[in-house]
Amino acid sequence: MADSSSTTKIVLESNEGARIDVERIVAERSVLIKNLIDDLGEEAVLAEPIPIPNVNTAVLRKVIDWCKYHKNDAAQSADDDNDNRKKTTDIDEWDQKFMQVDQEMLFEIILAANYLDIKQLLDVGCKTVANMIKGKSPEEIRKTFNITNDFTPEEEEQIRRENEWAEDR
Amino acid sequence: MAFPSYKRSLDSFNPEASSPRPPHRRKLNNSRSTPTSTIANLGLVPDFNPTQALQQKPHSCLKHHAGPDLISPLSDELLLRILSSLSLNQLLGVSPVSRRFYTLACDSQLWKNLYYHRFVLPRARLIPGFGPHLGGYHSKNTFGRACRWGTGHRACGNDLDTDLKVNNVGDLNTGSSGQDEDAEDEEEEGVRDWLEGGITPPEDHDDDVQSDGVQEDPLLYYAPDEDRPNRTMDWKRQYRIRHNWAKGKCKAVELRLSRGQETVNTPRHEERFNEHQRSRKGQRSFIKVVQGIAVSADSQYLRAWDLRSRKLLGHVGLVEVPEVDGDAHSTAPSCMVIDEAKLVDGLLDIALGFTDGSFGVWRLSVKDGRLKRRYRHEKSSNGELIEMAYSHPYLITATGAVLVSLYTFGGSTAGPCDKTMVLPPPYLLTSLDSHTCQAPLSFSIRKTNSSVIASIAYTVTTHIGWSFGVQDLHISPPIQDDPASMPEITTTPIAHTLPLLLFRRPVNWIEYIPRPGDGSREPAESSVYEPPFTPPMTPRSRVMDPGRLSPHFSFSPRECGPKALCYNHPYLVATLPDNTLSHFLCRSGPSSLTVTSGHRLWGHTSGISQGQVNCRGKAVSVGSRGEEMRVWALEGATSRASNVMSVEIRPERVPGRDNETSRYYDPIDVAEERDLVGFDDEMIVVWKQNRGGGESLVIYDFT
Repeated sequence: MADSSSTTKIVLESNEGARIDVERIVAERSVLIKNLIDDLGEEAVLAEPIPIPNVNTAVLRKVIDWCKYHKNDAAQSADDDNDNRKKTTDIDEWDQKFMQVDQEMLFEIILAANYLDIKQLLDVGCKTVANMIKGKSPEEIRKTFNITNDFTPEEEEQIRRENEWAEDR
Repeated sequence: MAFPSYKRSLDSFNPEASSPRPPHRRKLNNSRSTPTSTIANLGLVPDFNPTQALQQKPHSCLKHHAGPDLISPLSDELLLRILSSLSLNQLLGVSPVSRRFYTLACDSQLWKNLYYHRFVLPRARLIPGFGPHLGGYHSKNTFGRACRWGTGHRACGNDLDTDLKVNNVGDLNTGSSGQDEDAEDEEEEGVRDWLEGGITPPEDHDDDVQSDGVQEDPLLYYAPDEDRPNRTMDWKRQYRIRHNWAKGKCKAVELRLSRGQETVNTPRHEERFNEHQRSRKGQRSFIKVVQGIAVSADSQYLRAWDLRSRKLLGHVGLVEVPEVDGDAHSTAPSCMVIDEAKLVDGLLDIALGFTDGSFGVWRLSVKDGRLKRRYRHEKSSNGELIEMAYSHPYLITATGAVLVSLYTFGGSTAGPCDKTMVLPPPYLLTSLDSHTCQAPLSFSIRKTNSSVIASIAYTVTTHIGWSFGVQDLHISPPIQDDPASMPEITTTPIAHTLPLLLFRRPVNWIEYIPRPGDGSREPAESSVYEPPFTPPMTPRSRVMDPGRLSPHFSFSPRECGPKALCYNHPYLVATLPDNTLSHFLCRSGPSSLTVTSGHRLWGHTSGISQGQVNCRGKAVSVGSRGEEMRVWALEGATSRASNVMSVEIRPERVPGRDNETSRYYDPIDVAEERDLVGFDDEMIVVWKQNRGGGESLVIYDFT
C-alpha cells in the first residue's frame, strides 16, 4: 500500500454529530473500520463521513488519540492473545497514563474498543480494570465499582469456605 | 484461549430496560439522524447504544453507593476478559462480590487457562526446543510430536485423569535435542490445541498408547481428533485437585476393613467395611484401587468397594468347593492385579494369584456390583505366585523362585466369551526361568497400536550391591481371521541398571567386605547390611562393628535388599531400605532397551514401605510407620540433576460429623504397619494395620 493512501484523511462522525479527521492508518487500527474500507473501497469512504453511532465525541477523540500513538504498532495476531493477557501489570507506561481517566470514561473506552474491534486497546482497558480489582477484598471491590452485594452473609461465608483450599498455610 | 466473539457482547445488553437514568449523567444525543449511506446498510449501525445501556441501571444501587455501578452492565464476554488477567487468589477474591461475579469467576475457560499456565506450560517447556516464541498456526499434515501432545491419547472416558502426558518422556528426561524448528512450533501448537479445544484433555492409562518406540514411527501414535469425546470439564475442580497435590493437602478418612481384638469399643459405623472377623489373624488382605473402586481379597472373599460412598459394591467367595477331598484353606491369595481397560464399560477384570501357585480371573460389573469368576487355573507345583500383570488377553505371572509365565486367553474366541464371561483355559505362550533374578519384581503390560509389550523388571544381586534388570517381551497379536495363529513373541536383550550401593559408608567398609571366606557366598547381602539411618548423618560418625557383619549374621535379601519395585513404563522406581527411593528411566524400541543410571530420591526420614509410580512420572511413597508420605514428580528429571523435589502430604483431619456414626482418621491412632495400596488422580489409598490388629484403609482425598 502506498504511503499516500495510508495518510489519506478519513472523517469519523460520533453519535453527537461531531466530525473528526483521522489518517487512514490511524483509523485502520480499528478492524471494523479497516474491514469497512476494504469492503467499500476508498472512494466511498472519502465521499462521506463514517458514522460511529455507538461512541460519543469525547470517547471517540480519546480512542483516536490512542490509535494515533499506536498507529505504527505491529498488528497482533490472534495467537498472541494468550500470553499477552496473562501478565496484568504489563501495561505500557504511555497506556497507563492514557488510562488515567474516571471509571465512566474507562468503561466507555472498553465498550468503544470492543465495538470498533481494537483488540490491543480492549486489552489495555481490561487490564486496567483487572489492576483495579487486584489486591482488594471483596468489600473493597464492591466499593470501587459500586457493586451491590446480593449475597446473604451466610452465602458469602459459604463461598469463602469454598475458596479456602487456595489459601497458603 | 478463545472467548466467543466479543463483538456479541453488545447484544447482551438489554436496551429495553427502563429504569430511570442517573441524574448526573450527561444527556444523550437522541437526535442522531439515521444515516442513509451505504455504510448503514452494512450493519455498522446497531439498534441501540452502549452508552445508553450503561446509564440504564437499577436506581436502587445509587441509594447505597456514591456512584453508579458501571462494571456490572458489561457483558459476560468483556467481564471474562477482565477476569482472565487475574491470578488464582484474585479470581477467588472476586467470587464473593456478587452473584454475577461468582458465576463468572467459576467459568471453566478461565480455570482452564490458569491450569494451562501453571501445570501444563511449565512441563511443556521442559521439552527441548519448546521456545517461548509463538509461531503461527501450522498445518497438521505433518503428524509430528504436536499430534501426540494434543491427541496422542486414547480417550478412555473418565474425568479423573486429566493430565497432559508428556509422551516424549525420553527426550524430556534425557535432555536430548535435535528437533528442527518446525517440530518445535508444532509442539507448541499442540499444547495450545489441547487448551483451546475446549474438550476433554488428553487422558491416559496404564494400558494406554505409550511413548514406546515413538522415535521410529510417530505416525503410530497419531489419533485423529474425532476420536476424542466432546465433553465439558470442570476446570476449576481440576485446578483445585492439582493444587492440592502440589501442596500436599488432602483430607484423610479411615475405613475399617476388620476389627482388631483390642478395638472393642469401636462404635458401629456405616463406614466400617467388614462385619466379619478375620478368620486367620496376621494374614493381610490384598487391596488394589482403581479410579475410586477398591478391590480387596483375603482368604475367604473377594470384595469390591466404592471409595466415594464407602459402600460395599459386591463380594464373592474365594473358598472353592473342593472337588476331591482337597484342603480349601491352602488357597490364600498372594497377589492381585486389575485390568482396567474395560472400566469405560463399567467392567473391571481382576486376576488373583494364590499361595498354591494357582490363579484366577474375576470380573466386576461396577453398576450392579456383580463379581463373577471367569477362570480358575489349577494349582501348580512351582509354588506361590508373587507377582502378576493382567491386560486381557495376556496374563503374566511369577513364582517366588522367579519362574515367569506368560499366558494368553486367546483373543480369537472373544465373541462367545463375552456372553457367558467364562474364559477358555489360557495358553502358555512362553516361560522364563532365571537363577539370578529375585524379588522384588514388577511387571507391566502396555499396548501400542501394533503390539503388546510385557515388561519384566526384577532385582539381581551383585557383588557390590543390587542391580535391577528390565526385559521387554514384544507380543505381536495373532492374525485375526486365523484361529490357529498364535501371538509371536520377540524378546529384547536385558537392560541392567548400574549396581546400587545401598549406603554411603566409611572407606574401610569396602576393604572389610572381600575378606576371604567371609561372605563370598552371599557377598551382597553382607556388604550392604546396615541399620537404616537418615542421609544427613555423616558416615564417619558411625563406628563399624565387625561383629555385626559376621557371616553368621545373615539377612535374607528381602530384609536388606530393595523392598519393592514398581515399573510403569518408562519409570522404574525401587524402594530401598535406607529411607530412599531410586528411580530409573527406560527407553525401549522394537529391539532395544536401555535403562538410565539411577537417581536417588531423598526426603523420607523413616523407612519406606513402598513407592509406586504412574506412567506420567508421579510417584507416591509411604513410610512404613508414622505419618510420612511424599509425592514426587519424576517427569522431566534428568539423570544428572539431583533436584527431584517431593511434597510431603499433610493430611487434614476431617471435622467429625458425628462421632457415633463415623470414625475419622485419627493421627494419634498410630499404625503398626502401613503400606501403599494405590493412588489415582484424586486420592491415595494406604493400607494400615492398627495396633490392635485390625486393618484399615486410609483414604487421602485430594479433591
